[in-house]
Amino acid sequence: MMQTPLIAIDIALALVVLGMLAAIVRAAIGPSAADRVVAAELGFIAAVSAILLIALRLDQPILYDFALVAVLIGFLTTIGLARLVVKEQDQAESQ
Amino acid sequence: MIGTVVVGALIIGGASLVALAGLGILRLPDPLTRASAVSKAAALGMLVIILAAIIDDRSPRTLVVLVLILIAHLVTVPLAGLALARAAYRSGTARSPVTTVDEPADRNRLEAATRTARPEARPEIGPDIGPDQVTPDGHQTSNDGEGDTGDQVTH
Repeated sequence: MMQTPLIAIDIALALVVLGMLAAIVRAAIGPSAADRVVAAELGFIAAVSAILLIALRLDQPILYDFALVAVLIGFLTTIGLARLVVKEQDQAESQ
Repeated sequence: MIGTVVVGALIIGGASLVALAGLGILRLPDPLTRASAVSKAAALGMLVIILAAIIDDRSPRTLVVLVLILIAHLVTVPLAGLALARAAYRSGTARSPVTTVDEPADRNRLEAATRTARPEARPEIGPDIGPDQVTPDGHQTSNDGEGDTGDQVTH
């Protein structure tokens, strides 16, 4: 039976949190709406990575189901936000 | 024992790639390059973490779920990255001076230059008439968008 390397997972979780913090900073200061959508995409990827790492850390494979649903929902979220940015810009140009 | 080392290395490598995407989204100059950082570095980092979970896996049922995550991730990430870059381009945000490649504008400029260099290739402007109908002033026209001289060139 394989022993899961707990200290490696702890370091990895800290690194993923760094990526998430960078996404939060960019979403706060990002000058345009496109910057904020990109930051939301990075935050989503970091969150799914954190779910996978926590599933490994706690040895709870049921959390993989959450990650699967999150990948599919996050894709729809990104597409919707991207379309929203373009539509807002079109409306601003037509006015 | 060797599996433990491999899984640990993959996990730390993948998380480092996600952190690197965070560095990119903070340091890169404009939305197009930031979208590039997210849709490549962060997506690859998550892919490596999924691979580590597949190697560490012990039951067939979770293996199926993990392979489904892998497939869904591989299918959706390029589309999401394309949508992000399209939104960033079409919302007209300011580009940095170092972002010099602008392929849609280059294509438009090339089409405009072609049209002014060969004015006979411009599509006819006028009432929408069917193919090979005779107009009231006696000219026979075709409705294929190329004009009469275009037909002479192709024959």
